[in-house]
Amino acid sequence: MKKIVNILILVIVSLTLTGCKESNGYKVGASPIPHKEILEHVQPILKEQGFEFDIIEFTDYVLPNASLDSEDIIANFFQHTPYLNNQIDEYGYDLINAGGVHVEPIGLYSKDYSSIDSLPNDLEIIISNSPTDRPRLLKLLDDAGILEIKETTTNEDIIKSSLGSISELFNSNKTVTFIEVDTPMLYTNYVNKSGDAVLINGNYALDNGLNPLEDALVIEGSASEYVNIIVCRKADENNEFVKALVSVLQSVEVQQWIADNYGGAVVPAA
Amino acid sequence: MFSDLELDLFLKALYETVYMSFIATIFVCFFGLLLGIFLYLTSENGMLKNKYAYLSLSFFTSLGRSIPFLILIVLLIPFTRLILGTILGPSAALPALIIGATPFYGRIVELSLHEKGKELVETGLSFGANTFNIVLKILIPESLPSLIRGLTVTTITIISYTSIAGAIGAGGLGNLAYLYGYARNKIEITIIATFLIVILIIFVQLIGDITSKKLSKK
Repeated sequence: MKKIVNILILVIVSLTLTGCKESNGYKVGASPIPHKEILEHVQPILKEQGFEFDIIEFTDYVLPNASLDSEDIIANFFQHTPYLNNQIDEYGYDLINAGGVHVEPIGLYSKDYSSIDSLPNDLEIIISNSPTDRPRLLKLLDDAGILEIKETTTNEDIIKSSLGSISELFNSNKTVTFIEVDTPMLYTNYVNKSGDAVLINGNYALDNGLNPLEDALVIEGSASEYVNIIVCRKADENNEFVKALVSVLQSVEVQQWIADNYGGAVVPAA
Repeated sequence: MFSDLELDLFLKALYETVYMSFIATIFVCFFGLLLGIFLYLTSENGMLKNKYAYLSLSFFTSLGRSIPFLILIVLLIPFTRLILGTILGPSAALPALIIGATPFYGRIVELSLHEKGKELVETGLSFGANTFNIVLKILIPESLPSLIRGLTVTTITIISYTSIAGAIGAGGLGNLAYLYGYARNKIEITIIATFLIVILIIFVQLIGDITSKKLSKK
């Protein structure tokens, strides 16, 4: 009897220990919204095709590529091409773009001013402290006519510049100053009327119930180069699961679902 | 090795960290002392023994210590905005730093007072001193070296908290190390900013040690 109890205990302990591992399907890394939601939407579709996968949620932008490089996940879905290229340059990853899915337009929001034209000359804009967002933010302000990026300025200059010297990289007839905060704090600053205007990333605008199409003074166009892509290792370029995942995500039905589900705030891009 | 621009970056961050830590420490020293004294007085061995007062004070102290610092910043946003008119920058980090570190120092004060408490209080009572005088003229002066050592530990905790305040644009060395070092893969910035934090902490520890040593020799 005692022997049986001992064996039982052994079994329970080893089960508990191994239980920490997820099912032996594929693992895909993703940001919470909308990436994870979109992946959850396609999970049953891929299951029908015989592919099961787990979604690993990341709230940081460095680890998903590091995990992909270290083969902890098979693919990730959170970034756009300029960011991927930047990461490849910096870390020497052998990663490739497996296919584009959608764009999350960044928008300029303000509680105090109702149009671009009414913005004050002494303009304080609150921005995300994510380095790779910077060129994108300036490009949007350039498109909106608030400033003009100098021809000699490269994306690299914009990323590496400190906030104190960033104004040397563009011309503007306004005095534009930037304040950097954590991306989740952007909306809080908008609600509390901090600064004159806030540049809010698409997913955070969505999370907080803003409709970029209606609430923003200006948003990025859908032809933006910042299409969110599925990324995998070069070695998995022809992996069946990766191919199936991308083709389902780019299918007419899923692209339509994205458009319907996010009311234009997440723009299908395939 | 560095352009003037990068030197400016470090000086500004150093200033922000010192500013936040210094102001917060002054407030925490005062409020923490007050909290610690009340915790001590209302406790089992205290002169104003009161189970309910102690338990509720103790509860809020533990509550304050267990809220993650970043969440504390977020929770305090309406309050910060009300008293400072802004939720951005080094000053906006102060309420969270003070409220986050006060319970920490309060507990240390409580412990320090308990260390020598019983004997001293009995001596004081035999002279006919009242509670107020016993605390102010006997307990605090006698526990001063230990209170200073506790304040040193608290200041260092506050310095490490300031790194997180970068989330609301407070800047500081920790933020510089993370955002302009790690996130931009500029390892030299991470190393120098971290090195400056180490220097700052060694400096604080040194001042604390010297002061408490001098006081205990008296």
